Amino acid sequence: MTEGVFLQWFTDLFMFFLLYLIVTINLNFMYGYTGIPHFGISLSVAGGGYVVGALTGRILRAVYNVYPELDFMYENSKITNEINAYLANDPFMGIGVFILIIVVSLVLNAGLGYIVSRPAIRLSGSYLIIILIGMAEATRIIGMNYYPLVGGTFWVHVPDVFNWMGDLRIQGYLIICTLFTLGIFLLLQAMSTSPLGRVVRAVRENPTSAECVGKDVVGIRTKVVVLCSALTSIAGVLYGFYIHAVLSTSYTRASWTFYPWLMFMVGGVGNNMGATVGTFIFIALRRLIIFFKHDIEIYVPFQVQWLEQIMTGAMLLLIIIFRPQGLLPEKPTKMRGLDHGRFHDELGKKGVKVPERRAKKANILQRLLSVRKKATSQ
Amino acid sequence: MYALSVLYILKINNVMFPPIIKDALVYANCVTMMSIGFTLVYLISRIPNFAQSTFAVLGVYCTFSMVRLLHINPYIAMPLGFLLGAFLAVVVYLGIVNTLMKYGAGPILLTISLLALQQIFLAGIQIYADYVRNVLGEYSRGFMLRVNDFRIGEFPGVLIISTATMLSVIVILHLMLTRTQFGIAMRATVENAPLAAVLGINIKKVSLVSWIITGGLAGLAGTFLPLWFSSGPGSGGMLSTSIFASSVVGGLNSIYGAILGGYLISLLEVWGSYMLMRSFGLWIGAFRMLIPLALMSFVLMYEPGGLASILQRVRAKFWGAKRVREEEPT
Repeated sequence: MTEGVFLQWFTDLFMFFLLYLIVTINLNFMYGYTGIPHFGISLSVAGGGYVVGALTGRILRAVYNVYPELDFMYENSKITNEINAYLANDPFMGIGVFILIIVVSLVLNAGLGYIVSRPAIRLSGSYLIIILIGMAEATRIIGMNYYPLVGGTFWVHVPDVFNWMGDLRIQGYLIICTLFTLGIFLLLQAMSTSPLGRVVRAVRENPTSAECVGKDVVGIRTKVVVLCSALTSIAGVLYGFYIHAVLSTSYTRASWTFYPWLMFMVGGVGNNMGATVGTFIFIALRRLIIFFKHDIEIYVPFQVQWLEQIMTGAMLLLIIIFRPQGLLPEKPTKMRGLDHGRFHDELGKKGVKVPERRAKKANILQRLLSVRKKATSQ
Repeated sequence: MYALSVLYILKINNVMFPPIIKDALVYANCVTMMSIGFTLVYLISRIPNFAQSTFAVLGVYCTFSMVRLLHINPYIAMPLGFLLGAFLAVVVYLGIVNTLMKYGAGPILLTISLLALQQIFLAGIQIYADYVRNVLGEYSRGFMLRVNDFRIGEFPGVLIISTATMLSVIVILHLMLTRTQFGIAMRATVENAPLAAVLGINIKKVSLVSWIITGGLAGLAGTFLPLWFSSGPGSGGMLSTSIFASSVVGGLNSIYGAILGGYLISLLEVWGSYMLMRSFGLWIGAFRMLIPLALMSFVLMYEPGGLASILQRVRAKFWGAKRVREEEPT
């Protein structure tokens, strides 16, 4: 592997890690902390992508007045090339449009999150899952069939707003993405350890009792979905600017709903560090498979991507069966100003059983045997 | 008899049978068959079976293999599709759902595992399609087998056979649920599973049978699809929204509701998209899956109990039922 190829491979790996990390920690906040099973997370990513594809080129064309007589979708590679030449010497316009797109995407996807969750947010469980899966599919169908949005089943080119960075473009963009991801991660981490984090956990564990102490359960659920949809759309925006194109067929259920679920189930539900570890393991594995794909392709009479899907599906099933809590399980909530040791002792004296922060769990063999024993004793 | 005489009158008066009605009926039969299974599994195991539409793709490829590879009558695929779907459902239930329930997994974990299974099955079917194309040299995606079907007058065989199958499925299910010991045990499990277990009903057996019916019916519905619609590995995904919508509109707590919802949703979908296409142009046909989605959202917002609870209320008002159970979906 030459240095250039390795750099390319590493950049790709790191970039996809960041993009998926944004989706995963948002998903973790929705399901792991609040208990909303969002099986349509791909619609927020697609929403971000659609904003980039539909608006960036059109705004910049109006600013620089490039070929105003041409149809934007049919001739977008020609228009984008011309815009890129302008952008090479215009850093302020590039950054301005980038920030504008991020803001528009946040606002629009917050609204989209509200609309899609509205019908079933007060019903938990199966109804919500059915509605969200349907809504994600609808978003994809609209993107694929409504040509003026992002060019239907063709792609639309996105102007390179960081063209002014020249040779350092890839590194610079990587740093910007890292900052965004870090910001989202710290925001959600702070929220989950704050009093709000305890409220959302209460909503997850027992909605009825949360309502009894005066918490607006439906309101909290809606707010969490709206916030997380908006934040997830940033992944779509960054993805669009990274590959300089938006392709409506790429927002499938497998790649933007199923894989993020797999990642944070691997890492640990209700634990942001666990989600990060899971994302890294999965992305590294997947990049390796893609790297060695062509070596396998000679020996089998079908495409290797199906084998990959079978492997990831089986992996998720094995994890659900043998380690449902993930690699790093959820820890009891930390409260500022509370001495955990004393808390345990005091409650212990009163005869209340409190789980240890590191409670020892039975291993797989013991669990299997205990299940067998229970079955026979009945 | 009545239907036959109507058909005869239409025939002698040489009235054209509009193709949209054929479309709508075949589609409605397939969707209703699957939504019955979806509701049945939801009632007994309390999980939405997202792998449902994948069983149908299995049926699609049964018919494909019969016609394109073995060159025999497509209707031989019917029992095969039923058996294959039922077998796969048994594997799913015993291998995954039952194992996970033993470990105490909740409905969310079961849902995720069913989505994973769906992905695995779909990849398996894609591998079969690739194998057929690369090794046997037969085009295996986006096929339509209308020419291989028989016709009686202007009625295609698939319309007659799927309608007959659907009617017999409804009659058999109704008789089973009301007249046999096992059907009564099944209804008892739906009402209150722990209590039914106390009374000596084998819940595992009841669940297994419900999964067999689900998988079998979905496989059976799938065998009809390629005889009228263009099909491929993706045809299950296209159907899935209609299936969910039918079950939700039907109320998710009644099999009769699922039958009503299935016909209502699929007829409205076909008719609605036809009317929209006539007034706005053909491009709007691509968005037809938005119709069941919108209907489903509407029902969930204003009447989460669906058709079943509306019927119950009407019955209580006019026939004065003694006790009306108003169950809020959870």
